[in-house]
Amino acid sequence: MEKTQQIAIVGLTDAILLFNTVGVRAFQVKDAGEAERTISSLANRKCKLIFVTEDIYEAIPETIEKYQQLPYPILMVLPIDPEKKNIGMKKIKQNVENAIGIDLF
Amino acid sequence: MAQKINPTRMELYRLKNRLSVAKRGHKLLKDKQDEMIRRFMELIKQNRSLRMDVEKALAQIMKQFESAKLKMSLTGLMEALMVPSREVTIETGARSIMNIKTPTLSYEKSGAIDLTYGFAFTPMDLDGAVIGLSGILHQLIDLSVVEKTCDMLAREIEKTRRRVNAIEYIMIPDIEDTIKWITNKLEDNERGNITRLMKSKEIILAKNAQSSS
Repeated sequence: MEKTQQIAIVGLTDAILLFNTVGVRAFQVKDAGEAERTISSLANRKCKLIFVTEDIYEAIPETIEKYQQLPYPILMVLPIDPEKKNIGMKKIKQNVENAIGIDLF
Repeated sequence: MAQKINPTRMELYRLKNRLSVAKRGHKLLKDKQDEMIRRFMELIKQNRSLRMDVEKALAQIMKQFESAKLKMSLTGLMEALMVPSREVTIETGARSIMNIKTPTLSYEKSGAIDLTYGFAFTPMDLDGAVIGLSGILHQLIDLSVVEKTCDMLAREIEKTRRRVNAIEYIMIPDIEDTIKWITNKLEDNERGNITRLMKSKEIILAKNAQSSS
């Protein structure tokens, strides 16, 4: 077991700053490129859990794919933006389809 | 069927061994796949219900935050949110599910939530949002682990299925074909040999009969 202190959140909106208050470090970025750089620097600093907002998650598929194959860092999408895109649920559906062959949900 | 194979008994023996290994491997992989699917189904149900809860709670929190944002200046809000009220410490580890290393996180709560901003210039909605968020933080961490595990399992199931299919529909029929071909070839040779022997015997007998007469 390894102890680490950092959980981070990366997003475009200022709503992510709310996470600062509960001990999650918030990184507000301006565009997808900056988000990619932030995520890779966080991963280099051994940050284990990174929350990303839906718009960022959609904009950086390569980075997501890259980290999906590794156990850490865990990148998790959160619906923080005002308009919900339901990416989390879509991802669950896609996982079921990939694993079982049909969409059960 | 692999073309460049000598139809010899040695090769036949080797192929028969390979066939039995392939069949055993196929059964093992199929069992592994079944077990992984069973685990995956359990986890994905958990994942789905957790995500639904978290999304619902987050939507509520964000609504509160938005209304707090309307009630005070942006700089004031930023200032209030600057200082973390507590440190979140997570302990990371690894768990093995069917030989796949999946992550585990355990979260230590460091005491009750303590609001670090002054209450004079912040609306009540902000307090609600912060308290609500700190309440669902452990759910967020749990969800992240379950989701990652599901991701990794789904990937591995797909890979295993491809392997199982390759063994079942390509490798095993291929070996069986080759074995059949070698057996036929060997039988053919055997028959050729017997015919040749019979023919030679006939010739020798004819010669013997000629010389004795």
